[in-house]
Amino acid sequence: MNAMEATGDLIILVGQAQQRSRASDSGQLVEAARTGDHDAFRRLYDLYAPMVHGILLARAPQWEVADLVQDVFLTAFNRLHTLRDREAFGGWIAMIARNRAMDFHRRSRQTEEITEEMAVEQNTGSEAEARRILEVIRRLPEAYTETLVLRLVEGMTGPEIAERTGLTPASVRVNLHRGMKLLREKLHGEGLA
Amino acid sequence: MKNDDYLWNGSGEVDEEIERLEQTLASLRFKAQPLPLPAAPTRRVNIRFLAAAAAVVMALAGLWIYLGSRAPRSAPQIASQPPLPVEPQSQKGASDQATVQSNGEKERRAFVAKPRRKASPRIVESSEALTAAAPASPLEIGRHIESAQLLLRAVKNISEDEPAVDVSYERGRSRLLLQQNILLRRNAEARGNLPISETLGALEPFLLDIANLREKPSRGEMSVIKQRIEKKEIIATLQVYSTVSILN
Repeated sequence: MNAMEATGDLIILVGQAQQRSRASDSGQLVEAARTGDHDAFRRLYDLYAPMVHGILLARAPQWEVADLVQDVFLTAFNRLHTLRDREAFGGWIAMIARNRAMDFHRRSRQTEEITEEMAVEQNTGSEAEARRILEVIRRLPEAYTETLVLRLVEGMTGPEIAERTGLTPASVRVNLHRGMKLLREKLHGEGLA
Repeated sequence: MKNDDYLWNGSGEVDEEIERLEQTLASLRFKAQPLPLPAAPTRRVNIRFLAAAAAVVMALAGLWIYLGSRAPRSAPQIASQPPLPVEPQSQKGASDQATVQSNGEKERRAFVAKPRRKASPRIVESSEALTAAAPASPLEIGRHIESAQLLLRAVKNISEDEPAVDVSYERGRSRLLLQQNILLRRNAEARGNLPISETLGALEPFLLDIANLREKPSRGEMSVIKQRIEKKEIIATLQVYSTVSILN
Protein backbone atom coordinates (compact mmCIF):
# COMPACT_ATOMS: atom_id res chain seq x y z
CA MET A 1 0.00 0.00 0.00
CA ASN A 2 1.55 3.27 -1.02
CA ALA A 3 1.21 6.58 0.81
CA MET A 4 -1.47 7.99 -1.49
CA GLU A 5 -3.76 4.96 -1.13
CA ALA A 6 -3.32 5.09 2.64
CA THR A 7 -4.30 8.74 2.63
CA GLY A 8 -7.36 7.98 0.55
CA ASP A 9 -8.46 5.21 2.92
CA LEU A 10 -7.93 7.52 5.88
CA ILE A 11 -10.10 10.16 4.28
CA ILE A 12 -12.85 7.61 3.71
CA LEU A 13 -12.63 6.42 7.34
CA VAL A 14 -12.83 9.98 8.62
CA GLY A 15 -15.74 10.60 6.27
CA GLN A 16 -17.56 7.54 7.59
CA ALA A 17 -17.08 8.70 11.18
CA GLN A 18 -18.40 12.15 10.32
CA GLN A 19 -21.30 10.52 8.46
CA ARG A 20 -22.29 8.54 11.56
CA SER A 21 -22.10 11.64 13.70
CA ARG A 22 -24.22 13.71 11.33
CA ALA A 23 -26.75 10.91 10.97
CA SER A 24 -27.08 10.86 14.73
CA ASP A 25 -27.73 14.61 14.70
CA SER A 26 -30.34 14.13 12.01
CA GLY A 27 -31.89 11.36 14.09
CA GLN A 28 -32.35 13.73 17.00
CA LEU A 29 -33.89 16.32 14.73
CA VAL A 30 -36.26 13.71 13.31
CA GLU A 31 -37.29 12.69 16.81
CA ALA A 32 -37.96 16.31 17.73
CA ALA A 33 -39.86 16.95 14.48
CA ARG A 34 -42.06 13.94 15.19
CA THR A 35 -43.22 15.60 18.39
CA GLY A 36 -44.30 18.65 16.38
CA ASP A 37 -41.13 20.72 16.64
CA HIS A 38 -41.26 22.83 13.48
CA ASP A 39 -37.84 24.34 14.08
CA ALA A 40 -36.32 20.87 14.10
CA PHE A 41 -37.97 20.07 10.78
CA ARG A 42 -36.76 23.37 9.29
CA ARG A 43 -33.26 22.42 10.38
CA LEU A 44 -33.69 19.13 8.51
CA TYR A 45 -34.86 21.18 5.53
CA ASP A 46 -31.70 23.29 5.68
CA LEU A 47 -29.57 20.17 5.83
CA TYR A 48 -31.26 18.12 3.15
CA ALA A 49 -32.87 20.62 0.76
CA PRO A 50 -29.73 20.93 -1.46
CA MET A 51 -29.65 17.16 -1.86
CA VAL A 52 -33.38 16.99 -2.67
CA HIS A 53 -32.93 19.89 -5.09
CA GLY A 54 -30.06 18.08 -6.81
CA ILE A 55 -31.99 14.82 -7.11
CA LEU A 56 -34.93 16.65 -8.65
CA LEU A 57 -32.76 18.75 -10.90
CA ALA A 58 -31.26 15.56 -12.32
CA ARG A 59 -34.73 14.40 -13.35
CA ALA A 60 -37.26 17.22 -13.66
CA PRO A 61 -37.41 20.52 -15.59
CA GLN A 62 -35.41 23.21 -13.83
CA TRP A 63 -38.32 25.66 -13.48
CA GLU A 64 -40.39 23.02 -11.67
CA VAL A 65 -37.75 21.97 -9.19
CA ALA A 66 -38.32 24.67 -6.56
CA ASP A 67 -41.99 23.71 -6.21
CA LEU A 68 -41.16 20.03 -6.20
CA VAL A 69 -38.69 20.54 -3.37
CA GLN A 70 -41.47 22.07 -1.28
CA ASP A 71 -43.77 19.19 -2.18
CA VAL A 72 -41.19 16.65 -1.11
CA PHE A 73 -40.63 18.25 2.27
CA LEU A 74 -44.35 18.67 2.93
CA THR A 75 -44.84 15.01 2.07
CA ALA A 76 -42.01 14.09 4.41
CA PHE A 77 -43.49 16.24 7.17
CA ASN A 78 -46.85 14.52 6.86
CA ARG A 79 -45.36 11.04 6.67
CA LEU A 80 -42.66 11.42 9.26
CA HIS A 81 -44.51 8.99 11.54
CA THR A 82 -43.96 6.23 8.95
CA LEU A 83 -40.15 6.52 9.12
CA ARG A 84 -39.05 3.54 11.20
CA ASP A 85 -35.31 4.25 11.46
CA ARG A 86 -34.86 7.89 12.37
CA GLU A 87 -31.17 7.68 11.32
CA ALA A 88 -32.25 6.84 7.75
CA PHE A 89 -33.95 10.18 7.09
CA GLY A 90 -31.55 11.07 4.26
CA GLY A 91 -32.13 7.92 2.23
CA TRP A 92 -35.83 8.11 2.97
CA ILE A 93 -36.33 11.66 1.75
CA ALA A 94 -34.07 10.96 -1.26
CA MET A 95 -36.46 8.16 -2.21
CA ILE A 96 -39.45 10.48 -1.80
CA ALA A 97 -37.72 12.98 -4.12
CA ARG A 98 -37.01 10.31 -6.79
CA ASN A 99 -40.61 9.09 -6.61
CA ARG A 100 -41.90 12.65 -6.83
CA ALA A 101 -39.86 13.25 -9.97
CA MET A 102 -41.22 10.07 -11.56
CA ASP A 103 -44.72 11.06 -10.56
CA PHE A 104 -44.19 14.48 -12.15
CA HIS A 105 -43.22 12.91 -15.48
CA ARG A 106 -46.13 10.52 -15.33
CA ARG A 107 -48.59 13.37 -14.90
CA SER A 108 -46.94 15.79 -17.30
CA ARG A 109 -47.45 13.34 -20.17
CA GLN A 110 -51.14 14.20 -20.06
CA THR A 111 -50.49 17.92 -20.49
CA GLU A 112 -48.57 20.00 -22.98
CA GLU A 113 -44.98 19.92 -21.93
CA ILE A 114 -42.61 22.86 -22.40
CA THR A 115 -39.34 21.42 -23.59
CA GLU A 116 -36.03 22.22 -21.97
CA GLU A 117 -34.86 23.69 -25.28
CA MET A 118 -37.70 26.23 -25.29
CA ALA A 119 -36.63 27.39 -21.86
CA VAL A 120 -32.99 27.54 -22.85
CA GLU A 121 -33.82 29.85 -25.75
CA GLN A 122 -35.17 32.40 -23.31
CA ASN A 123 -31.84 32.63 -21.50
CA THR A 124 -28.50 33.92 -22.55
CA GLY A 125 -24.94 33.91 -21.28
CA SER A 126 -23.69 31.70 -18.47
CA GLU A 127 -27.13 30.53 -17.39
CA ALA A 128 -27.81 29.20 -20.88
CA GLU A 129 -24.46 27.46 -20.86
CA ALA A 130 -25.29 26.00 -17.45
CA ARG A 131 -28.49 24.55 -18.81
CA ARG A 132 -26.71 23.04 -21.78
CA ILE A 133 -24.14 21.40 -19.49
CA LEU A 134 -26.93 20.17 -17.25
CA GLU A 135 -28.58 18.59 -20.28
CA VAL A 136 -25.35 16.73 -21.04
CA ILE A 137 -25.13 15.51 -17.44
CA ARG A 138 -28.73 14.31 -17.60
CA ARG A 139 -27.95 12.14 -20.58
CA LEU A 140 -25.42 10.17 -18.53
CA PRO A 141 -26.43 6.99 -16.67
CA GLU A 142 -28.73 7.85 -13.77
CA ALA A 143 -26.29 6.91 -10.98
CA TYR A 144 -23.67 9.25 -12.39
CA THR A 145 -26.15 12.02 -13.14
CA GLU A 146 -27.41 12.33 -9.59
CA THR A 147 -23.95 12.23 -8.02
CA LEU A 148 -22.48 14.72 -10.48
CA VAL A 149 -25.35 17.18 -10.05
CA LEU A 150 -24.93 17.03 -6.28
CA ARG A 151 -21.19 17.60 -6.64
CA LEU A 152 -21.01 20.14 -9.46
CA VAL A 153 -24.33 22.01 -9.09
CA GLU A 154 -25.05 21.84 -5.38
CA GLY A 155 -21.39 22.02 -4.42
CA MET A 156 -21.53 19.08 -2.04
CA THR A 157 -18.39 17.07 -1.35
CA GLY A 158 -18.24 13.31 -1.82
CA PRO A 159 -18.57 12.56 1.92
CA GLU A 160 -21.54 14.93 2.17
CA ILE A 161 -23.24 13.20 -0.75
CA ALA A 162 -22.69 9.83 0.92
CA GLU A 163 -23.97 11.08 4.26
CA ARG A 164 -27.09 12.74 2.85
CA THR A 165 -28.13 10.06 0.37
CA GLY A 166 -27.23 7.08 2.53
CA LEU A 167 -24.88 5.67 -0.13
CA THR A 168 -21.48 4.34 0.91
CA PRO A 169 -18.56 6.74 0.38
CA ALA A 170 -16.90 4.18 -1.88
CA SER A 171 -19.92 4.05 -4.18
CA VAL A 172 -20.09 7.82 -4.34
CA ARG A 173 -16.39 8.03 -5.15
CA VAL A 174 -16.68 5.48 -7.95
CA ASN A 175 -19.74 7.23 -9.38
CA LEU A 176 -17.99 10.57 -9.32
CA HIS A 177 -14.85 9.22 -10.95
CA ARG A 178 -16.60 7.30 -13.75
CA GLY A 179 -19.28 9.91 -14.24
CA MET A 180 -16.75 12.71 -14.56
CA LYS A 181 -14.78 10.73 -17.09
CA LEU A 182 -17.88 10.23 -19.22
CA LEU A 183 -18.89 13.87 -18.82
CA ARG A 184 -15.52 15.13 -20.02
CA GLU A 185 -15.83 13.00 -23.15
CA LYS A 186 -19.37 14.27 -23.85
CA LEU A 187 -18.47 17.92 -23.24
CA HIS A 188 -15.48 17.69 -25.56
CA GLY A 189 -17.65 15.93 -28.14
CA GLU A 190 -20.25 18.75 -28.05
CA GLY A 191 -17.72 21.58 -27.91
CA LEU A 192 -18.69 22.65 -24.39
CA ALA A 193 -15.35 21.96 -22.80
CA MET B 1 -5.31 10.75 -8.24
CA LYS B 2 -4.96 14.43 -7.40
CA ASN B 3 -7.87 15.24 -9.73
CA ASP B 4 -9.99 12.66 -7.95
CA ASP B 5 -9.21 14.26 -4.61
CA TYR B 6 -10.44 17.57 -5.81
CA LEU B 7 -13.51 15.91 -7.29
CA TRP B 8 -14.00 13.93 -4.08
CA ASN B 9 -13.78 16.65 -1.47
CA GLY B 10 -12.30 19.77 -3.02
CA SER B 11 -8.87 19.12 -1.57
CA GLY B 12 -5.56 18.82 -3.39
CA GLU B 13 -4.65 20.40 -6.66
CA VAL B 14 -7.49 22.25 -8.35
CA ASP B 15 -8.85 20.64 -11.50
CA GLU B 16 -9.50 23.64 -13.74
CA GLU B 17 -12.21 21.95 -15.79
CA ILE B 18 -14.13 20.88 -12.69
CA GLU B 19 -13.72 24.34 -11.20
CA ARG B 20 -15.11 25.92 -14.38
CA LEU B 21 -18.07 23.53 -14.33
CA GLU B 22 -18.72 24.34 -10.67
CA GLN B 23 -18.73 28.06 -11.37
CA THR B 24 -20.99 27.74 -14.40
CA LEU B 25 -23.46 25.36 -12.79
CA ALA B 26 -23.62 27.37 -9.53
CA SER B 27 -26.36 29.49 -11.10
CA LEU B 28 -28.63 26.45 -10.91
CA ARG B 29 -27.82 25.78 -7.25
CA PHE B 30 -30.53 25.47 -4.61
CA LYS B 31 -31.76 28.81 -3.29
CA ALA B 32 -33.34 28.49 0.12
CA GLN B 33 -36.99 29.44 0.34
CA PRO B 34 -39.21 29.60 3.40
CA LEU B 35 -40.96 26.30 3.99
CA PRO B 36 -44.61 26.73 4.99
CA LEU B 37 -45.56 23.91 7.32
CA PRO B 38 -49.04 22.96 8.49
CA ALA B 39 -49.72 23.18 12.21
CA ALA B 40 -49.82 19.42 12.46
CA PRO B 41 -49.12 16.62 9.99
CA THR B 42 -52.15 16.01 7.82
CA ARG B 43 -52.37 12.28 7.52
CA ARG B 44 -54.04 11.25 4.32
CA VAL B 45 -56.95 8.88 4.66
CA ASN B 46 -56.32 5.74 2.72
CA ILE B 47 -59.34 5.49 0.43
CA ARG B 48 -58.77 1.83 -0.26
CA PHE B 49 -58.59 1.07 3.43
CA LEU B 50 -61.81 3.01 4.05
CA ALA B 51 -63.57 1.22 1.20
CA ALA B 52 -62.49 -2.17 2.53
CA ALA B 53 -63.60 -1.26 6.05
CA ALA B 54 -66.99 -0.06 4.76
CA ALA B 55 -67.43 -3.29 2.81
CA VAL B 56 -66.67 -5.37 5.90
CA VAL B 57 -69.11 -3.35 8.01
CA MET B 58 -71.83 -3.71 5.37
CA ALA B 59 -71.22 -7.44 5.07
CA LEU B 60 -71.45 -7.85 8.84
CA ALA B 61 -74.62 -5.76 8.96
CA GLY B 62 -76.13 -7.85 6.17
CA LEU B 63 -75.21 -11.05 7.96
CA TRP B 64 -76.67 -9.73 11.19
CA ILE B 65 -79.95 -8.79 9.48
CA TYR B 66 -80.07 -12.15 7.68
CA LEU B 67 -79.51 -14.13 10.86
CA GLY B 68 -81.95 -11.92 12.71
CA SER B 69 -84.65 -12.63 10.14
CA ARG B 70 -84.03 -16.36 10.43
CA ALA B 71 -83.92 -16.51 14.21
CA PRO B 72 -87.18 -17.11 16.07
CA ARG B 73 -88.80 -14.10 17.57
CA SER B 74 -88.75 -14.30 21.32
CA ALA B 75 -91.92 -14.61 23.35
CA PRO B 76 -91.67 -11.14 24.90
CA GLN B 77 -91.58 -9.69 21.39
CA ILE B 78 -94.79 -11.47 20.50
CA ALA B 79 -96.41 -10.50 23.76
CA SER B 80 -95.45 -6.85 23.29
CA GLN B 81 -96.54 -6.69 19.67
CA PRO B 82 -99.19 -4.17 18.72
CA PRO B 83 -102.67 -5.59 18.26
CA LEU B 84 -102.92 -7.89 15.31
CA PRO B 85 -105.10 -6.79 12.42
CA VAL B 86 -108.13 -8.89 11.83
CA GLU B 87 -107.59 -11.40 9.05
CA PRO B 88 -109.56 -11.01 5.83
CA GLN B 89 -111.11 -14.37 6.56
CA SER B 90 -112.36 -13.03 9.85
CA GLN B 91 -113.68 -9.93 8.23
CA LYS B 92 -115.43 -12.06 5.70
CA GLY B 93 -116.98 -14.06 8.52
CA ALA B 94 -118.06 -10.90 10.18
CA SER B 95 -119.54 -9.55 7.01
CA ASP B 96 -121.69 -12.63 6.79
CA GLN B 97 -123.64 -11.21 9.62
CA ALA B 98 -125.71 -9.14 7.27
CA THR B 99 -128.78 -9.62 9.31
CA VAL B 100 -127.30 -8.32 12.51
CA GLN B 101 -128.81 -5.06 13.53
CA SER B 102 -127.05 -1.81 12.71
CA ASN B 103 -126.01 -1.13 16.30
CA GLY B 104 -124.27 -4.44 16.47
CA GLU B 105 -122.39 -3.80 13.22
CA LYS B 106 -121.13 -0.45 14.41
CA GLU B 107 -119.84 -2.04 17.54
CA ARG B 108 -118.13 -4.77 15.54
CA ARG B 109 -116.37 -2.31 13.28
CA ALA B 110 -115.27 -0.35 16.28
CA PHE B 111 -113.79 -3.47 17.80
CA VAL B 112 -111.94 -4.38 14.66
CA ALA B 113 -110.48 -0.92 14.30
CA LYS B 114 -109.46 -0.15 17.84
CA PRO B 115 -106.57 -1.87 19.62
CA ARG B 116 -107.46 -4.90 21.58
CA ARG B 117 -107.20 -4.98 25.27
CA LYS B 118 -104.05 -6.16 26.85
CA ALA B 119 -103.89 -9.91 26.96
CA SER B 120 -104.21 -11.59 30.28
CA PRO B 121 -101.14 -13.26 31.79
CA ARG B 122 -102.50 -16.64 30.87
CA ILE B 123 -102.69 -15.71 27.20
CA VAL B 124 -99.17 -14.35 27.22
CA GLU B 125 -97.96 -17.55 28.81
CA SER B 126 -99.74 -19.50 26.12
CA SER B 127 -98.27 -17.36 23.41
CA GLU B 128 -94.79 -18.10 24.69
CA ALA B 129 -95.30 -21.62 23.47
CA LEU B 130 -96.37 -20.41 20.06
CA THR B 131 -93.13 -19.16 18.73
CA ALA B 132 -92.04 -20.17 15.28
CA ALA B 133 -89.24 -22.29 16.69
CA ALA B 134 -91.50 -24.13 19.10
CA PRO B 135 -94.66 -25.35 17.44
CA ALA B 136 -97.81 -25.37 19.52
CA SER B 137 -98.30 -28.74 21.17
CA PRO B 138 -101.46 -30.76 20.39
CA LEU B 139 -102.33 -30.49 24.06
CA GLU B 140 -102.22 -26.71 23.85
CA ILE B 141 -104.41 -26.73 20.76
CA GLY B 142 -106.74 -29.28 22.33
CA ARG B 143 -107.22 -27.16 25.43
CA HIS B 144 -107.92 -24.12 23.30
CA ILE B 145 -110.47 -25.91 21.17
CA GLU B 146 -112.13 -27.37 24.23
CA SER B 147 -112.42 -23.92 25.77
CA ALA B 148 -113.86 -22.55 22.55
CA GLN B 149 -116.27 -25.45 22.36
CA LEU B 150 -117.52 -24.77 25.89
CA LEU B 151 -117.97 -21.09 25.06
CA LEU B 152 -119.98 -21.86 21.94
CA ARG B 153 -122.16 -24.31 23.86
CA ALA B 154 -122.75 -21.70 26.52
CA VAL B 155 -123.79 -19.16 23.93
CA LYS B 156 -125.98 -21.65 22.14
CA ASN B 157 -127.73 -22.55 25.42
CA ILE B 158 -128.60 -18.99 26.33
CA SER B 159 -132.37 -18.84 26.66
CA GLU B 160 -134.17 -16.64 24.19
CA ASP B 161 -137.08 -16.28 26.53
CA GLU B 162 -135.35 -13.79 28.68
CA PRO B 163 -135.62 -10.25 27.26
CA ALA B 164 -131.99 -9.14 27.74
CA VAL B 165 -129.25 -11.49 28.84
CA ASP B 166 -125.95 -10.18 30.14
CA VAL B 167 -123.21 -11.80 28.01
CA SER B 168 -120.28 -9.71 29.27
CA TYR B 169 -118.53 -12.80 30.60
CA GLU B 170 -118.88 -14.68 27.30
CA ARG B 171 -117.76 -11.60 25.40
CA GLY B 172 -114.63 -11.20 27.49
CA ARG B 173 -113.86 -14.88 27.26
CA SER B 174 -114.30 -14.80 23.53
CA ARG B 175 -111.84 -11.93 23.15
CA LEU B 176 -109.17 -13.87 24.98
CA LEU B 177 -109.83 -16.98 22.95
CA LEU B 178 -109.84 -14.96 19.75
CA GLN B 179 -106.35 -13.65 20.43
CA GLN B 180 -105.06 -17.10 21.25
CA ASN B 181 -106.85 -18.52 18.23
CA ILE B 182 -105.05 -16.12 15.91
CA LEU B 183 -101.69 -17.12 17.31
CA LEU B 184 -102.42 -20.81 17.10
CA ARG B 185 -103.74 -20.52 13.56
CA ARG B 186 -100.68 -18.60 12.39
CA ASN B 187 -98.45 -21.10 14.05
CA ALA B 188 -100.25 -23.95 12.31
CA GLU B 189 -100.04 -22.14 8.96
CA ALA B 190 -96.32 -21.57 9.40
CA ARG B 191 -95.88 -25.27 10.18
CA GLY B 192 -97.99 -26.33 7.23
CA ASN B 193 -100.55 -27.99 9.51
CA LEU B 194 -103.56 -27.46 7.26
CA PRO B 195 -106.30 -29.35 9.22
CA ILE B 196 -105.68 -27.37 12.40
CA SER B 197 -105.29 -24.17 10.48
CA GLU B 198 -108.66 -24.69 8.77
CA THR B 199 -110.39 -25.68 11.98
CA LEU B 200 -109.13 -22.64 13.83
CA GLY B 201 -109.93 -20.49 10.80
CA ALA B 202 -113.53 -21.73 10.89
CA LEU B 203 -113.74 -20.99 14.61
CA GLU B 204 -112.44 -17.45 14.36
CA PRO B 205 -115.59 -15.72 12.93
CA PHE B 206 -117.69 -17.10 15.77
CA LEU B 207 -115.26 -15.85 18.40
CA LEU B 208 -115.23 -12.50 16.66
CA ASP B 209 -119.01 -12.25 16.60
CA ILE B 210 -119.29 -13.09 20.29
CA ALA B 211 -116.47 -10.69 21.17
CA ASN B 212 -118.35 -7.94 19.37
CA LEU B 213 -121.65 -8.44 21.12
CA ARG B 214 -123.05 -5.79 23.34
CA GLU B 215 -123.25 -6.53 27.06
CA LYS B 216 -126.95 -7.10 26.74
CA PRO B 217 -127.66 -8.03 23.13
CA SER B 218 -131.14 -8.22 21.70
CA ARG B 219 -132.89 -11.48 20.98
CA GLY B 220 -132.33 -11.01 17.28
CA GLU B 221 -128.59 -10.67 17.69
CA MET B 222 -128.33 -13.78 19.80
CA SER B 223 -130.60 -15.68 17.46
CA VAL B 224 -128.42 -14.96 14.46
CA ILE B 225 -125.29 -16.24 16.19
CA LYS B 226 -127.00 -19.34 17.49
CA GLN B 227 -128.36 -20.15 14.04
CA ARG B 228 -124.94 -19.81 12.50
CA ILE B 229 -123.40 -22.08 15.15
CA GLU B 230 -125.94 -24.73 14.30
CA LYS B 231 -125.78 -24.23 10.56
CA LYS B 232 -122.00 -24.44 10.34
CA GLU B 233 -121.82 -27.29 12.84
CA ILE B 234 -118.81 -25.71 14.36
CA ILE B 235 -119.29 -27.39 17.73
CA ALA B 236 -119.31 -30.80 16.10
CA THR B 237 -116.17 -29.94 14.17
CA LEU B 238 -114.42 -28.86 17.33
CA GLN B 239 -115.62 -31.93 19.16
CA VAL B 240 -114.13 -34.18 16.50
CA TYR B 241 -110.79 -32.49 16.84
CA SER B 242 -110.94 -32.73 20.64
CA THR B 243 -111.65 -36.44 20.43
CA VAL B 244 -108.80 -37.00 17.99
CA SER B 245 -106.36 -35.06 20.12
CA ILE B 246 -107.42 -36.95 23.25
CA LEU B 247 -106.94 -40.28 21.46
CA ASN B 248 -103.49 -39.18 20.30
